Amino acid sequence: MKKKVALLLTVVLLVTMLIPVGVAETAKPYAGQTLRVVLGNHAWTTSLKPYIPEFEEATGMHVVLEEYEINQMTEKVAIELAAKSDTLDVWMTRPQQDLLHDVKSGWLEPLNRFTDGDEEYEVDDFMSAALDACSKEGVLYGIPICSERQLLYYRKDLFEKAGVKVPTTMDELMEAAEKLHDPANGVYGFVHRSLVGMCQVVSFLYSFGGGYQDAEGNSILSTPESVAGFEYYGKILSNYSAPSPESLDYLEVFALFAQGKAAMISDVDANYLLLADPSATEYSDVIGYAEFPAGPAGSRPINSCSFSLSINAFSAQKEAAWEFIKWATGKEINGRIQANGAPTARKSAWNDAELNKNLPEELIAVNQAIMAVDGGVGIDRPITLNFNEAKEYVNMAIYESIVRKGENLAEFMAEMDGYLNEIYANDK
Amino acid sequence: MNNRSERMARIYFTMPALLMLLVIMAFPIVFTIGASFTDWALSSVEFPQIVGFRNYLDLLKETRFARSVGRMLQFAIWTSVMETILGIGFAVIFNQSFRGQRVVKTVCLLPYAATPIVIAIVWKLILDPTLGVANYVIGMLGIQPVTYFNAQNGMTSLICIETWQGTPIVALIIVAAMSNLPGDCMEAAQVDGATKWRTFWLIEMPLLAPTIFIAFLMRFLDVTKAFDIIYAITKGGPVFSTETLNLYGYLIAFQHYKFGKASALIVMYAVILTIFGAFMLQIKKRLEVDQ
Amino acid sequence: MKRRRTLSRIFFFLIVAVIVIYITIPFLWMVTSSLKLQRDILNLDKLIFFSPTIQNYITIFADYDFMGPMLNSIWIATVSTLLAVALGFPCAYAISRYKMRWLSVTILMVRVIPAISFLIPWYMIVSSLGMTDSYTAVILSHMSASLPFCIWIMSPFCDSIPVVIEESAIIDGCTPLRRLVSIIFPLAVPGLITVTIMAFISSWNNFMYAMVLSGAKTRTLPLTLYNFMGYSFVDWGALMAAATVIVFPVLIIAFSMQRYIIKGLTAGAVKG
Repeated sequence: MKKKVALLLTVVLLVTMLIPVGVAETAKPYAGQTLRVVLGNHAWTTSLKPYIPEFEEATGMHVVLEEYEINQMTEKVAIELAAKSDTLDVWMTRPQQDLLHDVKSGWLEPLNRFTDGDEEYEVDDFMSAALDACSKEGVLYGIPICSERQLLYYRKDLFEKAGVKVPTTMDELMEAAEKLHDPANGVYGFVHRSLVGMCQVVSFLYSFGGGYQDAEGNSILSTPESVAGFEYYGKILSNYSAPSPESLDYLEVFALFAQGKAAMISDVDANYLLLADPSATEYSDVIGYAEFPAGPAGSRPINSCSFSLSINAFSAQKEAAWEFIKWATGKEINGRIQANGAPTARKSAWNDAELNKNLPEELIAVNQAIMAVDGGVGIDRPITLNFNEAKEYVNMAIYESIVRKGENLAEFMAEMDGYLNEIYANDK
Repeated sequence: MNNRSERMARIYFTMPALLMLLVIMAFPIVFTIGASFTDWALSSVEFPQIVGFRNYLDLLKETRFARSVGRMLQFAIWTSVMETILGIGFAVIFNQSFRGQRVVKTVCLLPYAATPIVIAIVWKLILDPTLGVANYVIGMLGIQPVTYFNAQNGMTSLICIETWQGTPIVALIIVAAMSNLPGDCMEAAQVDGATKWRTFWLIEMPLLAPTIFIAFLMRFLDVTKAFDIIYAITKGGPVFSTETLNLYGYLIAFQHYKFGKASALIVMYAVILTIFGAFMLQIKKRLEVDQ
Repeated sequence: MKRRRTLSRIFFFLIVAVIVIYITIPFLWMVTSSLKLQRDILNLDKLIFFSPTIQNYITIFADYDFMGPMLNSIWIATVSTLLAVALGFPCAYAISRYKMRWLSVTILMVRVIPAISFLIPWYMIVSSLGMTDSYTAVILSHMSASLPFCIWIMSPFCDSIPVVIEESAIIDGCTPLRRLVSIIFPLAVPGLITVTIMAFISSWNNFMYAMVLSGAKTRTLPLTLYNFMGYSFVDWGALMAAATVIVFPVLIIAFSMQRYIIKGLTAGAVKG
C-alpha cells in the first residue's frame, strides 16, 4: 500500500514538474521561424490572408506568403521540388491531379502522424470524399481546404416571364434552354464554361452514366453513355449558348451571367460570390438555385475537393509547417472562411447555420440535398500520373463535341480513348 | 611593347564579357545537350538513364512536333511578311514632311516598348468574343461577331497581334534608311521628268532593298522565338491550334515534366534557329559588300 | 490645282490618323478601362463617355502588393543593364578594333538560342547554390539577353568611330585602356545611351526568366500582372490599372529617348 502511495506521489510530482515545462514549450515552440507558404490565387486564399497576422502573433512565426495564378503555381513548385528545394514549406495542391505524381516523386509529407489522435482538430470532420482525394493507400498527404458541388443557377424572373418550369431533368433543361434562348434581346438560354471546364462538363457525363475513366483507370469517353453525354452537351451549347460556345472560359461565363445575359448556367456553389452575390451582379435578387438536372443515370453532379494544403517532404521545418496548416484548416479559421462565402470541406462548418447565414437559403437547401444522400461524385477529372497530358485530350473531346454540334462523336471519342489509354498505361 | 599591350588588350577587354557568357550560357547549353540524351522526368524517382537518341527519334516521329514546327514557321513567315509590307507602306507615309511627324514616329515606338504580357492581356480582352469591344464595334457595322481565339482563327489573330507590335519598328528602320538615301539622284530623276511613283519604285526601292530584307530576316528570327504573347493568350490551344515549337517545348518541360524530351526539343529548336541565323549572317554580309 | 492639293493633303492626314489610331488603340482602351468601374467597362455604351475613377489604382496599391514588385523591376532592370553595358562595351570595342570576326559570329549565335533553353539548367544551378529567390540569379538571367545584345549593337557603333582619332594617341604611347576611357568612351556615349535604354526596356518587359527564377522577394511586375489573372480575378479595371502602371515607365522612356531608340533599332537588331 505504502509503496503504491509513494509511486503515485512520485508520478504526481513528476507530472507537476513536467507541466510548466510542457506549457512553456507548447506556447511558442516555433517562434522566430519563417515559413514559406505558396498559394494559388483563389477565393480561399483571399479569405485567409487577413487572418495570417493573428497566426504570426500567436506563434511568433513569420509567414512569407506567395500568391500565384494556379497553373503558374503548380509549374513553379514542380520546378523547385524537382531540385529538392527545402525552402518551400507549405503549398496548395490539387489532390485529384497532383497527388499521384507528387507522391511518386516523394514530394509530399504524410500527415497522419500529425492528425492522428488530435481530437480538437478532428480530421474526420472533413468530408470523406475530400479526404479520399487527398489520400493514397490510406496515407493522408493533404488537408482539403474547399469543396464544391455543381448546381444550376437560373434567373427566376426570366423563367416566370416565359412561363417555364425549373428543369429537373436533362430533357427539361434542353427545353427550357430553347424557350429562354433569345439572342435578339441579348439573352442566351444556357451558358457553360467549356474552355477550361473539364471538371464541370463531367457532371453531364456522369448523369448520362458515363465519365472519363472506369474503375480500372481506363478511358471511357467512347462508351455509349459517355458519347450520349457529350452529344447532349454539344447540342445544348451549340444551339442555346452565347456565340462561340466552344471557347468560353469561366471569366466570360461569369460576366455574361452577372450582366443578365444568361438565363441559366451550371457552375459550382464555390463560385457563388463571383456569380450571384449582390456585389457581383444587380440580378442577385432574382437568381434561383436548383439541383443539377437528372439524366438517364439520375442527377450525378460533382461533389469534389479541388484544393488542399500539403507539406514539402524536403522542408526542414515540417512541425512548424503543420502548425500553420492546423491553424488554417482548424475549425475556427475554417468556419470564418465558410462564413466569408468560400465553401469549405468541413462537415461541421456546413452544419452550423450561423456560418452559412450569408448564403441564400435555396443554395444551402440544394447543397444539403446533395450532401444528405452523400450524392454527387467525388472525382471530377482523370486520375493519372500524367494529368497535364491527359487534360489536353479530354479538352479536345469537349471542344470537338461542341464544334460538331453533338453529332458524329462516337468515332472521334474512340480515337481520344486510344490516345488517353496510351497515357494512362504509364500509371499501371 | 606596343604590340604586346595591344594583344593584351584583346584579352582583357573581352575576357569579362566572355567569362560571364560562359557562366550564364555555356554551362546551360552543355547541360541541356547532356539532358537530351536521358529519360529525365520529374515523375520518375529513379536516377535518369541514358537513352541515346530516343528522345530525338520520338519527337521526329510525332505529328505534334512536326505540326508545331510548321506552326512556328507559319507564324514567323506570315508575321514578318505582313510587317514588311505594312512597314513599307507606313514608311512611305512617314517619310513625307508634315507637321507632327516627330510625334507620329514616337507613337511608333509604343508597341515596341510595351511589355508583351500587357499587350497580350489587353488584346485578349479587346478581342473577347462576347464582352470585347472589337465585336461590339463590328456589330455596329452589321458584321457577325467573330471568335478570335478558336481553333480556326486563333493563329490568324495571334499573327495580327504580333504584326501590330512589329510593324512600326520595321517602318522606322525603313524610314531611317530612306533619309540616308543620296538626295541628288532622286532630284536628278525628278528633273528628268520621272513621276514620284516611278522614282520610288525604280530608284529608291532597289537602294532600300537590302535594309528591308535585313529587317525582314531579323523580325523573322525574333518571331520564331515569340513566347509571351502566345502563352498569355492561348497557351497553345485550343486543341493545339496555336502551339508553336517554343510553346510545345515549354509544355513538355513544365507541364508534362519531361525534361529529357524537352531538352531534345530545345536542342533541335536551337539548331533550326542557328541555321536561320547563319543564313541571315551570310545574306547580310553579301548585301553589305554589294553596297 | 490648289483644290486638288488640299484634298490630297486631307487624304494624307486621314491615312496618318488611321495609322496612329491603329497603333494606339490598345493603349487608349487600356488607359480608359483603368479609369472605369467594372460595370462601365462591360457596358459598351459607355465606351468613350464615362465618369472616370481612380478606384482601380487605389485597389492595386492598397489591396495587392504592387510596390514591392515595382521596386524589384527597377532594381533588376537597372543593375542587369548597367552590368551588361560595362562588360559589353570593352568587348564590342575589341571586336571592332581587332576585327575579331569569330567572336561577333559567336555573339550572334548566342543571341539566336531560344530563352527556354536556359530555364531548366539555371533553376538547377541556382537552387543547388541556395540562390533561389535571389536578385543575383534574376539579374544574371536577364544579362544572358542583355549582354550579347549590348555587344551586338555596340560593335557597329565602334566601327563608325574612325581609327584615325586613336592613331595620334597610339603614337603618344597611350595604353589601350586609356584610349578606351578617354577617347572612345566620350564618342560612344550616344551609342551607349541607346543600348542602355533598349536593354533596360527588354529587361523590364521580361516575363519568362522571372517566371521560373523569382520568388516572393524578387518578383517582377510582368509576373505580378500575370498572376492577377487568377481564378477569382474578374476585375478588368484593376487589371488594366496594373497594366498601365507597368507600361507607363517604358513608354515615358520611349517618348523622351526616341532618337536613341530609333538609332539602336537601325543599328542592326530588333528587340533584345
